[in-house]
Amino acid sequence: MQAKISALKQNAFNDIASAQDSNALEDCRIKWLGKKSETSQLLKGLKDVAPDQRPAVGALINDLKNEIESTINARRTEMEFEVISRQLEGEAIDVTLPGKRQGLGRVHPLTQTLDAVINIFHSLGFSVAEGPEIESEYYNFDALNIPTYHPARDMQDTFFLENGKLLRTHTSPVQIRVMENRTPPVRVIAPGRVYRNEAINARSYCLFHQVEGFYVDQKVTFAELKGVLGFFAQELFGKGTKIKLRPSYFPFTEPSLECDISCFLCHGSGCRVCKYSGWLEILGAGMIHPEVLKSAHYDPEKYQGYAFGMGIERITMLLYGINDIRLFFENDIRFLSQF
Amino acid sequence: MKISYAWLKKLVNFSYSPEELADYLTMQGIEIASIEKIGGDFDGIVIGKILDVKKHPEADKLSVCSVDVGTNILTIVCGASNVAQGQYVPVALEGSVLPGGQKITAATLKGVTSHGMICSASELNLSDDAKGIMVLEKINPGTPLSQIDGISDYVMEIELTPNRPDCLNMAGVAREISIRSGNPVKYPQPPEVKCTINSTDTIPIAIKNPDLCEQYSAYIIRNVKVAPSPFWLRNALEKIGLRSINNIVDVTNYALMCMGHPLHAFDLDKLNGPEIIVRTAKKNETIVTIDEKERILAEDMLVIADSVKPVALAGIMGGAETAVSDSTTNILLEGAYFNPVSIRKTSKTVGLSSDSSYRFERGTDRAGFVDVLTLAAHMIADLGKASGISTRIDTIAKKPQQVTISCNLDKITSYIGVNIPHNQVLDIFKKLQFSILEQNGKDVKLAIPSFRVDLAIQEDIVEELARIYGYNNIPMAFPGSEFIEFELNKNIQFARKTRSILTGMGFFDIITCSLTNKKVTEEFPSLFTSKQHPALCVKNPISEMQHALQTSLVPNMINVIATNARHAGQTLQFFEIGSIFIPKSPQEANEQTVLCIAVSGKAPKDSITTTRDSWDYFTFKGILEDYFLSLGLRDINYETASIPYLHPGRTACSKLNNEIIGYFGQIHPVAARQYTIDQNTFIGEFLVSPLLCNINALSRYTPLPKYPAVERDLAIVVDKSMTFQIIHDTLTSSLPGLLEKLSIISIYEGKQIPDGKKSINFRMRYRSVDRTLLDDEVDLIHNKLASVLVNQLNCEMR
Ligand SMILES: [Zn+2]
Repeated sequence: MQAKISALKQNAFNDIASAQDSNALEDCRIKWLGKKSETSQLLKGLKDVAPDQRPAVGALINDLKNEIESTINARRTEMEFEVISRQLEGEAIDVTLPGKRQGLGRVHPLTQTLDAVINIFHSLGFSVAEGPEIESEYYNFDALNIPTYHPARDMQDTFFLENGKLLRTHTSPVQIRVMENRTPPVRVIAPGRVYRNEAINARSYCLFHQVEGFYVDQKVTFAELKGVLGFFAQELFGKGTKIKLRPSYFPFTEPSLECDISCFLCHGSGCRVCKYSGWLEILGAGMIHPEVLKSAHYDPEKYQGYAFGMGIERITMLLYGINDIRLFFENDIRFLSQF
Repeated sequence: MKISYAWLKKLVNFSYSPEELADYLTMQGIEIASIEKIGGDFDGIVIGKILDVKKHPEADKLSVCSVDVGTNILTIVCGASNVAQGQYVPVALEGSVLPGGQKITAATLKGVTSHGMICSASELNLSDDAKGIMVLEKINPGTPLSQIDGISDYVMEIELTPNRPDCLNMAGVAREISIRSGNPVKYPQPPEVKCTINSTDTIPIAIKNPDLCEQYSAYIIRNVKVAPSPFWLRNALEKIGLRSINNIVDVTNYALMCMGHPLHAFDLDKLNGPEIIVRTAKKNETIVTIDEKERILAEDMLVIADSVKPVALAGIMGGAETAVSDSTTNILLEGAYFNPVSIRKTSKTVGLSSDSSYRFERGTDRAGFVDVLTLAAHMIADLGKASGISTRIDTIAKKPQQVTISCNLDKITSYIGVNIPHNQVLDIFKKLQFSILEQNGKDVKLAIPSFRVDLAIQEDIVEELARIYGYNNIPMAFPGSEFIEFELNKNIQFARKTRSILTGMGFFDIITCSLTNKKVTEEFPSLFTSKQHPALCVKNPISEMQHALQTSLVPNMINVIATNARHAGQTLQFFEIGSIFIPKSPQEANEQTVLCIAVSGKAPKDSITTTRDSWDYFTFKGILEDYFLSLGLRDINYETASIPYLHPGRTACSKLNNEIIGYFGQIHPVAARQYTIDQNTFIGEFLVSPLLCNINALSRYTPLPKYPAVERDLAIVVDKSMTFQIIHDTLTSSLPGLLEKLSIISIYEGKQIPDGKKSINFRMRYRSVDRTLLDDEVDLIHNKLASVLVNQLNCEMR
């Protein structure tokens, strides 16, 4: 009996393996598992087996049935895969062709720098304030300790408006406006657009963007200003960036300084961008002048603070190696796509 | 201003190289912008005396000179027109090399052999003067040029901040060096004069405006010979960029550049009276200044007058009539202290700025100027071989005041944030020439030297202390303060959100100029005012293109599209967040932040296998709808609108809470043609303030639907002019709650539909939040809505 089963199994397997399509396979199934199949015959013949051997032989036949069935299924799966494979072969594409891009837009490089600067100071606890671009002489000059016939007014070419006001030449008026409305401690940055009445060329434009920052409290020191500027320089221009402070003059700060950073292109060894000095000038700062505190009705005996201001165009030009300021305002996609 | 390294060396001892000096000065607040080397080592260049000058037989423009160079007499051919017998000149001998690298060899010029070359200042890299040969003064022939005092030098360009007029001269810079080197400044002393000193030689001087002129002092110098200045003086002035005129003018310039005080020399014989009256100008008075220009004077302008008329614009420029000329013999030399604001006002009004006004308006040394006057007067007497000099004639309207500043040593060091020992602070004060008038523990009262006109308050002392201590020696500290509330304001949050959404949808963020041509503001008036006024303009524009404050971002946007379309021609998507200035009355403008957004050309399906479609109205509107939703604005309505530069049938306004927040549509073909745009372009402008109202709003969770929805379709025929918005609003307001969604399946016009009508197929989705809607109930609702359309909007059912 066992030999019979074994022979039958071998024949069935050969038959299945040689089936070439699903119809032939279905024929196999009927031939080997159908009601009239040899397997069914074997089951029918079970009654002729000695009763004590019946369970064992029955199990053998069942195993045979299961084995044939799973072999047929496996062969079917194999056939289906062959069919799909052939179909997929026909669907082959050149995977190296360019993708269908949605096309992302870009944030303007000036906005990127402005945002980076805002984030650095925001992380230090500075709030953001804004003010009008049309300003009065009072906020733009007088309140900042620049009286009418002060030579410092020559430092800035002002656009005067027909209505007696002017286009602000710096964002420092926001400092006064904020201080007028808050009592110390105040720690604020004021980003915005400012104007200079200068001829337009590669180095200068009639407007630019500035970030002014200031902090007033009872014991704010020059050393803290230096600390904040050092942190800022490292955050924006990279770890290891050093700062150098030079005495300078602004009417609204005393003492005043210009802050240079170590050139991030040559790391101090000198290159064309830093004019072989190893240093790049990036911002002006100082301790807020007592007259400015008085303008905001702060008592200079009680409060002191620092202020700083930087030009976003200049920093962006340094960061990306841009040599013509006009590019920022032409908005050529070939330029904007690079950032 | 230019300064000379060699000159500084005469004024103070120091051992710094020019580069070191530049660095020290810059770090002390006196910025040195550049260093230029002049001259060279001058090997083989010696002084020669021209013994004889003959015309070259073959060339009109050449001379043949015999030149004594000490060791022998050379024949040298020279092309300069100023060559003359008896001159002492620099001669480059055969074999020498000029600073520019030119090697001198014997050369034959049209048959005459020249053994060496007589040099110009420019050939020796001493100045730009290449007009003729350089003429020195009597020096032994054969003396090497390099031995002449101060001939080779470094010229530095100094960029001073307006608070430091005390350094607008060599002595002031020397003082700054002396702070570092510790060696005292050696101020130039008046030379001994050989002429008589006549204390009775005087002139009446009256000061009518003591506030504008505190002191007027003068010297009278008699029988002066106006002549060229000696070489050392010419050389000193020319090196720092001044032209040598004559011994009188050069001395006043020397006093100015060395000591910082402007002086003026009058031809005494041309003064009426003679007398000097310092007064303000009279109505309609005029003066012709040295530059030969007639100046009309105003009544607040300070002048120096004689008994008849103004002879100088005080502190700014002298008059032409009384100026020193070659025939001048008697001189009145003026030194005065003028009010800085008055000088600046007059200089601005007249439109005339001079080296003199530049210094007076920044502040001059009130107490120290008389010494400069004395120095210059004696130099003129000496160099001009005068027969007599007066003593100083002083008219003092106001006495000089000693400036004092009180400060607390603890307070000034804690302000800096570093513990500088008090003895070190006092040592720095001493170097700065602050003398201590009183000291009471940590409180000191300082007397400020009169040349430091910029120092007035304790904080000024802090700066002085900090810059001499060294900004870079101050440690970095970090704020250790209490917590202060801080926030990003809504505008920044709005801008960031807008940028992230719109750039994600393919838009480029642009920044344009807010100043524009006035005509542009007329063509693109503000969309956000009912009453139009002319744009607010700049009074002093450099160009017509930056004349008016923009009233809309649209024209700049169109320009950006036009320029990019020219060379890119692809899909263009831009937005800008910026300020516009809405004219509120002829003199008032309201500053508003707006968002301008535009698409142009092909919609973005960038691939080789798919064709690209042009942008259309609904794709653009879809972008806006997605954008508004992302800002948390769910209830924006749209209405037909009309904007002159937009397509009359494809323009809408957006409304939030019944207020117009912006307009958008297709650009009018006429406007497009004007800007040479030949592709479909859509543009919109929106006020930012309503857009950011929900920027911080937290979305509240709505439970997901539990009960099934039921959909029903509805086909209607309606007037062509009926808008979807009206149908939508009518339906949703008739059935709040149950109508979950209203969508359009199709819109059809044409066959089977009467003229002037359109057919619309809607699909409505009904759902209740608290129960399953039954078919009967839905039928009832649906029919009710249909009848609303029939009754309220004159629709027909199909
Ligand atoms: Zn570099």
